[in-house]
Amino acid sequence: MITARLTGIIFLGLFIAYGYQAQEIQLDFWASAELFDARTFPELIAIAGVLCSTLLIIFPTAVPAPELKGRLLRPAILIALMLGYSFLIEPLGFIASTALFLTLGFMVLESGATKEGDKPETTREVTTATSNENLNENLDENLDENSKESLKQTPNEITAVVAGASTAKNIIKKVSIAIAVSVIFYALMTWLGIHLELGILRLNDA
Amino acid sequence: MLEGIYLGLVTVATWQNIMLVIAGCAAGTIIGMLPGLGPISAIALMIPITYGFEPSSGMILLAGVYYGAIFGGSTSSILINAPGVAGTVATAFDGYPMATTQGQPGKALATAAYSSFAGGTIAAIILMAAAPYLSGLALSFQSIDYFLMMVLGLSLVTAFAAKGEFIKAMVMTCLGLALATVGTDLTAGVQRFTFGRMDLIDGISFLLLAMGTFALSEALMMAIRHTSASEPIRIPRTGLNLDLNELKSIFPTITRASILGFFIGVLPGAGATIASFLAYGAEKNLSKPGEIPFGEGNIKGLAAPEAANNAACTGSFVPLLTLGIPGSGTTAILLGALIAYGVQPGPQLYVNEPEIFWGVLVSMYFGNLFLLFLNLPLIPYLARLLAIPGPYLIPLIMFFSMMGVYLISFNPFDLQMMVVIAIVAVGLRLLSFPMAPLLLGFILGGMLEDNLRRALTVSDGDWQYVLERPVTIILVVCIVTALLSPVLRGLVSTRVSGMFSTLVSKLVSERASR
Repeated sequence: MITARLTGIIFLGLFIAYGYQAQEIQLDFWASAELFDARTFPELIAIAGVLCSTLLIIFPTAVPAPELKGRLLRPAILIALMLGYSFLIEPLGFIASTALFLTLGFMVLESGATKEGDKPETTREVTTATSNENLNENLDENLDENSKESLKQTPNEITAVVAGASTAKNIIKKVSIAIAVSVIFYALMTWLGIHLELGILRLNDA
Repeated sequence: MLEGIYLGLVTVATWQNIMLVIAGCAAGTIIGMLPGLGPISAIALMIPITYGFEPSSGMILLAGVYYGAIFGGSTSSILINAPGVAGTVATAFDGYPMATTQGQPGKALATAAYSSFAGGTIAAIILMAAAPYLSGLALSFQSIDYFLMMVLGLSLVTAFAAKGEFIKAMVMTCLGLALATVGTDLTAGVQRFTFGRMDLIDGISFLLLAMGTFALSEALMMAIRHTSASEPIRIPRTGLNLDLNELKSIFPTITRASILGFFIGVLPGAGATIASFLAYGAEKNLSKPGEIPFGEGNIKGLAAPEAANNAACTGSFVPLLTLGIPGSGTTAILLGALIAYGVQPGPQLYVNEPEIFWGVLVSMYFGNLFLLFLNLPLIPYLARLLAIPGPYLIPLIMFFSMMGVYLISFNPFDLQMMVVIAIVAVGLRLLSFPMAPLLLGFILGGMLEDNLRRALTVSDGDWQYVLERPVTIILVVCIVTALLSPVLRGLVSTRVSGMFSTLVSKLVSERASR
C-alpha cells in the first residue's frame, strides 16, 4: 500500500513538473490568436496525469512484494555494462567493445549460477572494467548497498580473484563466442551496406 | 474483394516475400519460445532488419513474426508450462497436462498447431470480407471521431487491464502520451521538453521506447528471476498426427472459438489473452460428462484457447488496417513500424497502398500455412534452442536490442536513454504497472494531438458543434462507460461485467491450487 501511494506521489510530482515545464514552451507570434497551440496538448496531458496519479494515491492497490533481496546485483551490473558499452562503442570501435560487452555479460550471468553472495567476485571485476563516473549517478537509486560497494572495488584485488573464479577454459570459450558474434555481426552489417564506421579500432581518424 | 485478394497474392507471391514470411515465422517462433519474451519484443527486435525493405515486405515479415511468436509461445506453454505470452496462459491449462501426464507432447503440439491454423484461417476470411467495408465506413469519419476513437482505444486498454490495475494502466497511458510530446512540434515548429539537447529534437524514437520497455526490460527481468532457460525438454520426434475422430471432436470447438476470438480481437484493448480465457471458459461450460476433465489434458481445452488467440491476433489487425488505430501493444508497434516506413496509416491505406493492405492480409494466411507445414515438423529442432543456457541468452538479447537502436541513429546517447528507460520500466514492472498502455499512448500521442487540433480548428473551438453528431455522442458514451468500468464492475459485479474477472480468477486459483 505504502509503495503504491509512494509511486502515486512520484507520478504526481512528475506530471506537475511536466505541466510546469509545458508553460516554458516557446510560442510564436501568431500562437496567441490560435485556439490550439503547442502548449495545449501537453497541458491536457498534465491535467489527466495529475488526476490519474491522485487516484492512484487515493486508491492504492496492494502489490505482492516481489522477492528482490539479493537479486538486484546481477541486473545492476548488466545495466552498468550496457552503459559502459554505450560510452565505449565510439572510442573503442564496434568489434572490440561488443566482444568485451558480451564476454563480461556472459561471465556475470555465469557467476549467478551459484547462490547470491557465494561468488560475487567475478561480477565485481566486470563492473570496474567498464564503469566510469556517470554510472554511479544513473544507478544510485537502483542499486542496493551491496552492489554500490562492488562498484568501488579496486581493479587490483579483483583481477586476482577472477583468475581463480573461472577456469581458463571457460573464459576462453566465452571470449571466443563473444568475438565470433561481434565479427559475424560486423561482417553481416557491412555486407548489408550498413557502415558501422567504427571498424575494429578507431585508429585512422583523429 | 477478389481483385484485392489477387493483388495480395501477386504481392506476396514473389520469392523475396515468401522467404520473408518463412523467415518471419521462424524467427518469431524462436523468440516467442523463449520464456519471458513476447510478440512485442519479437517484433521490436526484428524491425531494424525491415528498414531496408519495401513497406509491404516489411509488414509481411513483421506479421509473420507476430504469428510465429504466438505459435512459439504456445509451444513453450505446452512443453515446459512457461507461457512466454499472456495470450497463451490458457493454452498451458490443458496443453501441459496433455504433454506430460498423458505423455502425448506430439499430439498436444499438433492440436495446438491445427487449432491455431484453423483459428487464423477463419479469422483471415472474416477479415478479408469485412475490412474493405469497414475502411469505406471509416472514410466518413471526421477528425473529432478519430480523436474519440483513439481515446476510446486507450480507455478500453485500461478498462481491460487486470483487476486492480486500472488506475495504474491510466497513469501509464498518460506517461506514454507525455513522452510522445518530447521533441519538435511540427505544426508550430517549436521544441518541447527537449531541455536544449540536440539528441531530443527529433523526439524519442518509438523503437527505442519499445526496446527499452519490452525487450531490454524483459531481459533484465529474466536476470532478476534468473531463470536459466536450460531446463531439459523432451523433444517429441513422432506422433505429430491426430486421428480423424479427434479432429471431428475439436472441429465445432475450433469454429466457435475462432469466431469468438476474432470479434474479441477486433475490440481495442481486449485481444488474445481475454479471447483465449473466454473461449476456454465457454468450452468448459459446454463439456460433456465422460470426457477427460478440463485441466487434465482435455483436447478441447487446448484447441479452444489456441484457436481463439490466433483468431484474436488476426482480429486485432482490423482496427489497425481500417482505421489506423492500434488496439493492443503489438499492433501499436506494427503501427509504429508503418509510420517509420513513411506510410500514412488510416482508412486511406486501403485506397493509397492497396498492396500493403492486401499483402498483409494474404500473408497472414500464408503465415498460418507455413506455421503448420514448416514449423510444426521443425519444432523438435527449434525446441533445442530453448536449451541455450541463460548466461548466453540475456547478453545477446541486450546486444541485439541495443544494436537495433544504434544502427538507426549511430548515437550513443540513444543507448543511454534506452538503458535509463529500461531501468524505469523494470521498476514499474516490479510494481505491476502494465507496459502496453505506455507504448500505446506513446504511439497514439502524435495522432491524438493532430486530430484534436484539426477538429477544434474546423469547429472554431466550439465544443457544442463537436458534440452534435450522433457518431460522436455514441463514442463519448462508450469512453465514459469504459472509464467508469471499475465503478460499474463493482455495481453489477455478479452480472455481465463481473463474469469475466470471476472466470479468470477462478481459473487462475484452480490452477494455483493444483
